[in-house]
Amino acid sequence: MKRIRYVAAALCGVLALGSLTACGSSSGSKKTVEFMTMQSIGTPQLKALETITKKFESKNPDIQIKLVPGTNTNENDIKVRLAGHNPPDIWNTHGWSRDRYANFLEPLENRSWAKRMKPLGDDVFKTKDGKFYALPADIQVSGIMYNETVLTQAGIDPKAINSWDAFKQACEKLKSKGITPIVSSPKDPGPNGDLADYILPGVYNEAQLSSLKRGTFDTKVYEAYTSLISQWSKDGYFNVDYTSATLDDVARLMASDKAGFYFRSNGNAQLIASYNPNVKLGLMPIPSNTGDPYFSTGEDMAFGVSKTSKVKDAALKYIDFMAEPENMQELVNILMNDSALTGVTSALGQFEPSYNYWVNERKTKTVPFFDRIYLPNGMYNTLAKSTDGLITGQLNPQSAADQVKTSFESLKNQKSS
Amino acid sequence: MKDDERTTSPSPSAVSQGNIGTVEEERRLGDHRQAGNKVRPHSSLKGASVNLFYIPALVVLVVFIIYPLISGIGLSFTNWDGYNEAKSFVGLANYKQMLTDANFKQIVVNTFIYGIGSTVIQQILGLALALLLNAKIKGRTLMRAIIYLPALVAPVIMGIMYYFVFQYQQGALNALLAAVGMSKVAWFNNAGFSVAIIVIVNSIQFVGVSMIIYLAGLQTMDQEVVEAAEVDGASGWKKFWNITLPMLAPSFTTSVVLNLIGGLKLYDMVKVLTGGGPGYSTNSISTYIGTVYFDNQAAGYASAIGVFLFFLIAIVTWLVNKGLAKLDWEA
Amino acid sequence: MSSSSMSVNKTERDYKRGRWAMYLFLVIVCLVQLLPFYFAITTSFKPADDMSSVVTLRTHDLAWSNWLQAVNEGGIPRSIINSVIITVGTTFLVCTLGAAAAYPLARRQTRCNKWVSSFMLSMMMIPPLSILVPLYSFLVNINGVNNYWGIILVLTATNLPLAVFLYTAFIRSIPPAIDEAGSLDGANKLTVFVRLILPMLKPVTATVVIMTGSTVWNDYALSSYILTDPQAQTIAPRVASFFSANTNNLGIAAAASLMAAAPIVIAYMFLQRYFIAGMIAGSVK
Repeated sequence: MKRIRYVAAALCGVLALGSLTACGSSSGSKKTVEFMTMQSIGTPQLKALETITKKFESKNPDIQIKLVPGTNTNENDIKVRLAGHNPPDIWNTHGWSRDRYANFLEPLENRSWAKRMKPLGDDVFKTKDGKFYALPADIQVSGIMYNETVLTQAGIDPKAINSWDAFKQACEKLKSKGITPIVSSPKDPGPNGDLADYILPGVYNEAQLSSLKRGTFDTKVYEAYTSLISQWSKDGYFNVDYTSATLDDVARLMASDKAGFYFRSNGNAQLIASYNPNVKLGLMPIPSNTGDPYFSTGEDMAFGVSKTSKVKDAALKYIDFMAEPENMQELVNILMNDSALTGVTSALGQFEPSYNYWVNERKTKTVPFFDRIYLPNGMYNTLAKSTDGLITGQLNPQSAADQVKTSFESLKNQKSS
Repeated sequence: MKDDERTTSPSPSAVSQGNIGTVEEERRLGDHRQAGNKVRPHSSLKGASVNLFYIPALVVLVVFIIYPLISGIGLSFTNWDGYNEAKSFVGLANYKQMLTDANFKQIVVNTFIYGIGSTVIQQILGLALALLLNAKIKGRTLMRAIIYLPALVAPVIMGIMYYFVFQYQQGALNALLAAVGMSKVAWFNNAGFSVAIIVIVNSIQFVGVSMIIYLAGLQTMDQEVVEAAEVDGASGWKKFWNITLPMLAPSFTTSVVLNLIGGLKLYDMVKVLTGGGPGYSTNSISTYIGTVYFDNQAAGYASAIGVFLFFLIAIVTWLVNKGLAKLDWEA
Repeated sequence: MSSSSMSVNKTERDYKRGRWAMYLFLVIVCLVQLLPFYFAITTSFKPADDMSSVVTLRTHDLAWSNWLQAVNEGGIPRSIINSVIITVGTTFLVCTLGAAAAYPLARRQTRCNKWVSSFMLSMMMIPPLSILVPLYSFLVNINGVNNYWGIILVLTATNLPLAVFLYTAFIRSIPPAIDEAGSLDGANKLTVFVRLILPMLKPVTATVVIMTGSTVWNDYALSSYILTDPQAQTIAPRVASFFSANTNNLGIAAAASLMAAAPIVIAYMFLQRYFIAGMIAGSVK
């Protein structure tokens, strides 16, 4: 038994030591601001945030910013922290500052940088009375991402694709060359949710949109979308390994010139380029049944400050610091989207030429993310799941539309009750 | 688990005198004799004060599991979205929703396949490995360690490693197929096939646990009984069926209960390998709870499913335990 | 496997053939168990743009940077220290509380105690997600998040039922005559337990230590929420921070995963020997 006593004593020692060091790091007169970045270790995004933070800390020695890297379950993490009344001081709201987190965030419209905000994302970012809840770094301008090498090889001119029929012909050409026309992944709601979010604005006309906004869900209109996906699936346009493909798997397909189109925001090009730095990607607008092709816009990387933070002043100071043009530039340089603030140059990387062509030359119109405007909060996953059902053939266009309708109505009721 | 007396070793002398046919009889006689002699297990511990020994454990469980569990059950009667303050009481609506949920039946069936499938595979393989590695053969320590190895690694990490096997583009199986001139296979395109892969992979990862439990059983087994049986001419299968297997009954119960609970709660492996797809067709109840809770923002409904899963596992385990206790008696 | 008294050449040949088949089977099983680790190793040495299959081992320009990055940027060493403290602390509590709780449950089969027994067993069946949010709120209120003691108590609770289950089964296999002798000598219950029963629990303790230790070391479901501060984080949530929706770096993640697994595997190797020795020394008669 002696040995056990020794072990116990040693354990107590280790525990005491451990708790000392744990406390040591958080004590002192410094204010510690916890910042949930939602970016994983080793990414250019996290590195840019680290650079900005170091600069801030050297100017403000009394404040320590604790950058918390993100995981696959970012959205779950933040929900649990909110439910436990213990949110981080700052977090990356990534598309949800207004619709999901507004109750928890400090309104920021009175900050000095507010007047520098470009109007592009107003519809999805600000409330009706002009309030907003995060500092946006960039605004997504998303369309259909394509692999230029592959399209050129197959003799496809993306500039000529102005309807879904033309898109279908392009897919046929790719398929006949043994190339996967469209990639998607079910492991993350993103790719399928984006497919729906990007395509839906073009299947509704003005009258149908306003009736949707009033709360009437017409499955007939929605079926224009579900039939499209269902047909693509039947025609074999999606990647063969779709059912189990991860975001990495589809990124690799794009990177290795084995796939043509990806309905995803530009930021994902970072991952694709990490697998093949020489990959050539481009961006094209989304065809519409009811008008001209368009780009879909919305909040991307944005930072909100907790309303209940104990170090709110320090957190706001840090947010203001980030908003300064030279600091923000650091971040925007790697996001491959339009910058959200004036005074910061957009850096679209390899999307620059196609973006310039479509946005600056052709003045392509932009529409806000569909679900944030017309659907109740919580629908994004339903869009993704029903799209998944269509791709795997488990749902037909009608049953998929019904599923979305059911979810639409129950979430509407949840909100009104 | 009323059969405590029985698991105590029978008196070796009684056994060595009898032949194999009467070993069981002898054991039973031995038990009754013990009971008759009033050497009942708890006679030495008459005072209830010994129950104080489990109070600390009970306190920890009540504070850190029961208390949160009760609040969790409370949530199952609300329409909470999982993070906002607002929630209202909806009665049994969430429980009724389970009945109308189109995905639910399939998911319950999957959960049973995961639970029972893994349990069966792990018992057969685990017992076989334990028997082989209980013999004095070269390298058995190393082999035991290797077989246990995957059970030491987090299922999330292990799942990713196994995903490398089945991956379409760079996966090991498809590389193998390509090497012999066959075309690649998308392993997870078929729901039934995916469920089978998940069962097998989960069994392989945790087969070491069953093996260790059986090894422990084999090593604590009374060697005198076995030797006595050998002297009486029992060998091979006969010895295995009549002596080894019955004496492994407690190990069997332990292993089955553990594997069953683990299989019915299966989460990570499903999440990593198929993510629950295609559609909802490979979800287990646990992964479905995660999807409903976080992605669909229906924490109330997710809590109700959690309560359902708890009772489902409790009932299944209770039945199995009951069944095994019976088997124990008759063996 | 064993043939004691039979003679004849045929049996001898069968025996040899059986031995070969047995070895072949064991070697195949071992290979299957080792394969995932091999894939992790091949992946950890590939730079991101190497898209060869996981089977091929890179032989030139090994991407040591994956390993370096995991150490330097990933903070793996710090999280290993955290994991060691939390695993050792939890395992110690689980073994002491578990063994103590099992003793009356194994020896005093009253109706109440049977109820307590099933109650504890049923705790194993609770899905972590069912208690996550209320548990998290509770820990926030008692200041138990991002603290060693908070997570140690939580993981002690989640691992206790298994330990009690294993200890109870084992103590039942110890003849009660041993306790009798002790109490006849006039020793009180605590002394009987500590002096007589506890030393006999070595083998099952090895099992409990291995199973609890690896579960705690690998815990992700609760730890990832309770330990969010990188300074306090354990290894499993840490490894998860190499994966995010936007960017995965499988090479670094594989390196980090291997580093995460190494300490527990080494600990197991050590314990396994003890486990087998304990079996022989403490085998119950």
